[in-house]
Amino acid sequence: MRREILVLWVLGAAAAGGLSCGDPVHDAEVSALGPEPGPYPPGPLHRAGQPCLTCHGGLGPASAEFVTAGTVYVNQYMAATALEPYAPLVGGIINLVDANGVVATPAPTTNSVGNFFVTADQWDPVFPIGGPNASQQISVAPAGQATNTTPMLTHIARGGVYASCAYCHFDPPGPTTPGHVYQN
Amino acid sequence: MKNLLLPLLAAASTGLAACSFPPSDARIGINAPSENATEWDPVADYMGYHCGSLDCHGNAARNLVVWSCFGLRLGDAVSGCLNIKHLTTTPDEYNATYRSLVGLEPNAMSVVVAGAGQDGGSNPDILTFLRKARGEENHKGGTIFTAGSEADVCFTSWLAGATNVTDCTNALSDVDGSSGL
Repeated sequence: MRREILVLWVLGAAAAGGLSCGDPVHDAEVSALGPEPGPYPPGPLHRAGQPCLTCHGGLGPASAEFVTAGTVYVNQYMAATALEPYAPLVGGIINLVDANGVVATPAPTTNSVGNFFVTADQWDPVFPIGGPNASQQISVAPAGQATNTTPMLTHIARGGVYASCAYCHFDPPGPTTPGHVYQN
Repeated sequence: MKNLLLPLLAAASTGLAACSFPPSDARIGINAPSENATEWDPVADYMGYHCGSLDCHGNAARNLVVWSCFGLRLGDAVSGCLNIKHLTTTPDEYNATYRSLVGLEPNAMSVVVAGAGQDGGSNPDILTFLRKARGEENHKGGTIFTAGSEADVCFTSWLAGATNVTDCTNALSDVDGSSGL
C-alpha cells in the first residue's frame, strides 16, 4: 500500500513538473494577442499589425519560425477618405542587412495586407540587423521602386519576439513607440 | 539556565543597537563623472543608438534605462532622430539617462571616479554596465564592444574625466567597425 502511494506521489509530482515547464511570460504574451481577429485564417495574411514573433519566434505555438516579420502601411497617418484605418503597403520591398553585412536575399516583400516575413530557413542573420549608416540601414521601398527607400535609423537588436516590427512599432505613437511602420 | 540567559540578553541588546536607522533626510552622495554636455552627451548619444532601442534599454522597466531620440522618449518628445548627424535627444533625456547610469551602482561609480587619474586608479571594470557591454558578464544583448575599442574608450575616458569625443562619435556611426556591431 505504501509503495502504491509513493508511486502515485512520484507520478503526480512529475506531472506537475511537466506542466510548470512552460514560460509564463511567453504564455501571457501569446494569450494577450487573443483569438484570431479575422477575416483571414492562420496564414500569411492573418493578424496584420500584431507582433508576429510572439508565436513565430521559436517558442511556439506557431510551427513556422521567423527571423523577423511585420506589417508595413502606406502612410504614417490615416487618410481622411480611407475606408480602412490604414492602407497596407502591397508589394513593398524590405531591405535587411545583418551585423556582418549579409543581406536577406531575395528581399522579402509585403503581401496584400502589408505583412512580410523571413523564415529561419531563408536567412540566419547575426544580430543586430540594420545600422546607422546608409549601407546598413533597414529600409522599405514601394513595389517596383527599389531605390526609393524609407530607412529606419535604428536597428533590430536581437531575435525572438523583439524582432517583430510591432514589438516596437504600434499605435498610437507616443514616448514608448514611433507608431506603425510606414513607407511614405 | 541563568548561564544561558545573560548571553541571550547581551545578544538581543546588540541586535537592537544594530537596528538603529539613519535619519529619513540622510542622503548619500555619488562621486560622479561629468554631466556637462560636452563630456556626457557624446557618451549618451552612443548609448542611445547602441543600447537604447525600444527592444533593449529603451524601456522604463529596465534597471538601466536609456532615453533618446533612438528609442524611449521623455515627456512630449515623440519624433525620432532624423539621422545620426541631427539628433533630437532633449536635455531632459540626456539628464535622465545620466541619472540612470550613474545611479545604477553608486558606490562602485564613486570608487571608479575617485580613483581616476591616480596611480593604480580603480579599474572601471568593477562597473557592471561596462562588464556587460564588454561581454565579460552575461548580457542579453551580447558583446557590444571590446576593451580598448573606440566605444570602450568613449566610456572609460568619460569615467576618467576627459571624454574622447572623437572616439564616441566614431563608435556611434561605427566608422571603423570596432563597436562590435
